[in-house]
Amino acid sequence: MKAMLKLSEYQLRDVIRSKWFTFYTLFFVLVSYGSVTFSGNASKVIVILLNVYIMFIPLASIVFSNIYFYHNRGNIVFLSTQPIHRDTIFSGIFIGTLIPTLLGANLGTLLPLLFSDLLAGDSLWNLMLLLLLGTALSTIFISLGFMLAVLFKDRLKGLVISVFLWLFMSALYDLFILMFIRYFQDYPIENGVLVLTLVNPIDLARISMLSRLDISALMGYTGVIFNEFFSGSFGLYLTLICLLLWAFIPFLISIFIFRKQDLT
Amino acid sequence: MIRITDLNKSIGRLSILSGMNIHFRKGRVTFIIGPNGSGKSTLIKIILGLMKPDTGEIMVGDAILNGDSEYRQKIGYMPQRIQFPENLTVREIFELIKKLRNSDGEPEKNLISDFSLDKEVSKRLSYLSGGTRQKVNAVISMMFNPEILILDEPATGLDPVNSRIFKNKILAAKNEGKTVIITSHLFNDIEELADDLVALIEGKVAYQGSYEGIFTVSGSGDLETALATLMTGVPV
Repeated sequence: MKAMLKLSEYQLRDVIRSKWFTFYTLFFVLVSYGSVTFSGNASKVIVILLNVYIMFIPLASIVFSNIYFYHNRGNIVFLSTQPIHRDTIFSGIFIGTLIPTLLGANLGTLLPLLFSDLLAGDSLWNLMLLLLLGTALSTIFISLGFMLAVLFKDRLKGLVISVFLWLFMSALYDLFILMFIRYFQDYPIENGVLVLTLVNPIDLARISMLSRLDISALMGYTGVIFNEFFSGSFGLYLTLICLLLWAFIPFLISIFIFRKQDLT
Repeated sequence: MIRITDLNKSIGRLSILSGMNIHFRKGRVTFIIGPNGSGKSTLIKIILGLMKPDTGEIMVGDAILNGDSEYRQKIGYMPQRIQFPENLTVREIFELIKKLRNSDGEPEKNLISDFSLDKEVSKRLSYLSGGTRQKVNAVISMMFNPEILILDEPATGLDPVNSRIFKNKILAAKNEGKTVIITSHLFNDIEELADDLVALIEGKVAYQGSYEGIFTVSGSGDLETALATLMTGVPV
């Protein structure tokens, strides 16, 4: 545990000093500032930020973590020649990559909002939920990025699969759901669609937030069911459990493989 | 110090190391030599625990390697090329390695001075040349005064002055009774430093013994010809 924290501390220093971190934080500052300046309405700001969060955070997290792991492979191999367990090395690098990514997104978003009137009442809770969902998406997609880098030694293959996975979850999966709805439209499929939604973390984050904003009618005829389900405490707990599983399962798979893998 | 018994390693259907029995002795500098693809790197990686053998046993001191990482406390390793996090300073790299090994004090202090790294310790790694990185590498491998030194092509990138300093340190380590294992293609280094040789050809041990002995076995007068003779099986 001690070695893992030490390793993550130095890893964190490396990422925070990188140009990527500066760019990532500035991006969120600009988006947050722009949304506050040009919308002037708390719900609109949240929706704008949500759209950026669910598209950009998964893409940036999976691509950055994937590239970072490949780029650091020489360092990881060297660390594996030291008297520390491989689980410690993997966890240390994971935490050291995750924390700056969370810092960049959350600080970048919050800084311009500190000077607005959004940080009060219901808007504050909505903003907190948005940041929580952003944190969950960052963790999930860094976990997936690392898993793909551990699974595929060829960095080009790993990167292409990472981008494809993001594309699938953020766009193609919705097409798949639409096809499912169209094909089974004569049947009571609301619960089926609900289950399909729980399987995709991006959809899950989007719908959890939109339900909270009470604009689920925009989501089509299943919107009412989604609203009932996700705005209740059972729906919230189930959402959190699903997001946690999405973060932990790829992480545990990565550790399991990395522990046994030949490092060349 | 390190004893390898019946070691086999394949990657897919390709046999990389086969039926290997080697003894690396204390107080000796042993060079692992052989053509490209002969299994030198794989052998080193198996000793370091980076790769797992299919069968066979490796003993480091009295301990059998069984996946535990603690035995690496005895080893100082210098890879041919290393990639530390680019945005860390040299000092931070040393601090990190010390913390991971639970080492106090400044074991690197004299080595920094010997390798003329005093002005470089506060610089980020991304600003360092290949040769300076290799000096950092050399300091890390030696800073904990390990019982076993494993050096992979150590002279690569070092200028003649630092190469000389490094060779002197290797000889000093040997005289202190440490086990030194080196892979190198540089015959000058081998002639100067080697006590023992392990020649690998196609994943098998073609020769193991003293440096002088290889000339008797191959019937050749120089190392290059001796190795070529072992590779082809006929005098070259």
